[in-house]
Amino acid sequence: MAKKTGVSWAHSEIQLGEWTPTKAKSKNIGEVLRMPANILANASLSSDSLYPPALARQALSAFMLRQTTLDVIDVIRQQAEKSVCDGVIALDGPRGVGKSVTLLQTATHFAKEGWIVFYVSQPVQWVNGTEPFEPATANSPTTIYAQPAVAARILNHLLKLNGRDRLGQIKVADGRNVADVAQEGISDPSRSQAALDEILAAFAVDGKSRPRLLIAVDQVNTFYSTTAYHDTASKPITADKLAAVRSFASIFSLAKKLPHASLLCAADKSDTQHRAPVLAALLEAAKPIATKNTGKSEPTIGKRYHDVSKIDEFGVLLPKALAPASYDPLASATDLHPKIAGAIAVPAYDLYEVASAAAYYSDCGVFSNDVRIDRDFVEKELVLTGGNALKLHRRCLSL
Amino acid sequence: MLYLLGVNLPDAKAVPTALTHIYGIGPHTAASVCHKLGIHPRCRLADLPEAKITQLSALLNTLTIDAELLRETRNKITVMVQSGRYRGARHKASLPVNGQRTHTNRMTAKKLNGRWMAARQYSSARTACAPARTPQPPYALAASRAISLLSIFRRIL
Repeated sequence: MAKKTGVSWAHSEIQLGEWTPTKAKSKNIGEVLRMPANILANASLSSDSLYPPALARQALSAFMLRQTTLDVIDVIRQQAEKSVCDGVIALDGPRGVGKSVTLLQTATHFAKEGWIVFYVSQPVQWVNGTEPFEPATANSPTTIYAQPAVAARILNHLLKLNGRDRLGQIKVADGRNVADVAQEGISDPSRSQAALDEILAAFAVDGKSRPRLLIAVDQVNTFYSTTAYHDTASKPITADKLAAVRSFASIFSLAKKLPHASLLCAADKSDTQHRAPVLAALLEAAKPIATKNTGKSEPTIGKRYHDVSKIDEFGVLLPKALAPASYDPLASATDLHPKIAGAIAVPAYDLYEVASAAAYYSDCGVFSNDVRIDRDFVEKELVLTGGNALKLHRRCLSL
Repeated sequence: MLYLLGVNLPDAKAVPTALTHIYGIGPHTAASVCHKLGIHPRCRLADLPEAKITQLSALLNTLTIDAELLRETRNKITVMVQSGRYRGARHKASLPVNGQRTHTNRMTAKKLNGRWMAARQYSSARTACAPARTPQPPYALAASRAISLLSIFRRIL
């Protein structure tokens, strides 16, 4: 019998299976699984945690296995088999549908399988003005700003997630191994950005002698938005001017090609301060990747942006409300735009998944009144929440 | 608390917010000072390194703030009063200066406008506009009281 670990809620403790690579099978779809203990050990409520702070709240550390997660895992595996990565796989969907959770499950799955995983859960901390910044190179016409603390944190997270043994097998250009370079960058933040660039360059050299690589970035809209920082002339800085963002954006734009690697990203639709109209337009135009869920009820992501290339026959400039991507400061910087190989739409819960989630909440004793989980209840919740996981969670907590 | 240019600034607040505690610096000036020095907007004053504090102090010294600003404002008003302008007369009479109504709602001006006329610690000499404190003869005092009482009775009746 598989080892079960407990999840404590306010009223009871229930036993759940652990999310491991052996659980990533179709027969386990609908089962609520808990993140492994070694992953939860690195989760904290602070904003600089490796994982989303919600993971540190024990009651929120369990997730339902969905077909979408298995599809994403398959797509990532197929992409990593190619000799050179051909683009970014984007997870798309409305707010609260499960993009970040799917990304987290995928990243932890491949970390357990022995891949090298760069998992960035909160890049919003890089652009919201909480980290010190300084010009990377003085007297330069195009000023790039370094954030030593951010780069040191990225290296620290890389070491925590992958371990020194796995990273010690890979050498950088001057012969040192990646683990040592990362440790140097953590010890001396002034060298952290250079260390990060060295490590990414090492991954770009040879893919056959190292484990497969996955770069998974959540809140990727922050990479293509305006930051809370300003230059000396009080002009706002766009995210592409930050060195840490630039390191990853250059990979997403395929300026640096990675062999035997996969790129996965998800946009944060709940962040209203760091919107990226250009990214939204690219996601709208991205080719959808056929998965096992295709053909079922796909979420209708409303077309919010007009396709300027089809309308603009007479060179008419549409207003900002109709074509916000045209007014984005990064609209003309096409060399920085991510090359999206395909988009996977994360669908809303279907009836079975709503029933599974409701049964889990009922087992946890979340419902305050005597709520009976029957077909009528599940159908009602499906209609009221539209299958949105976040809305279902909040609704069940309020019942 | 960080003592900077004669002002105690709260350490726990963000730098742009803490700088607004200095007379003469508002949110816009505080933000532009932070932009010039490369201070990130959510930096706490307590987390500022010594080098940045020195640069901040040097930059603030170039601005007209605090006592120097008060002195300049007072001097401008003094010039208006001495040159017999309408605005100067309004300052001297502690009445609204910018065209507000005085039939009602003039009490804020009565409280605040006279402050520019009084002598302050940064000026040891009296100004020409300050009210003269010469002793008045007793009959003048009694006459002025009678006139004020008469005006009150007139309003009642």
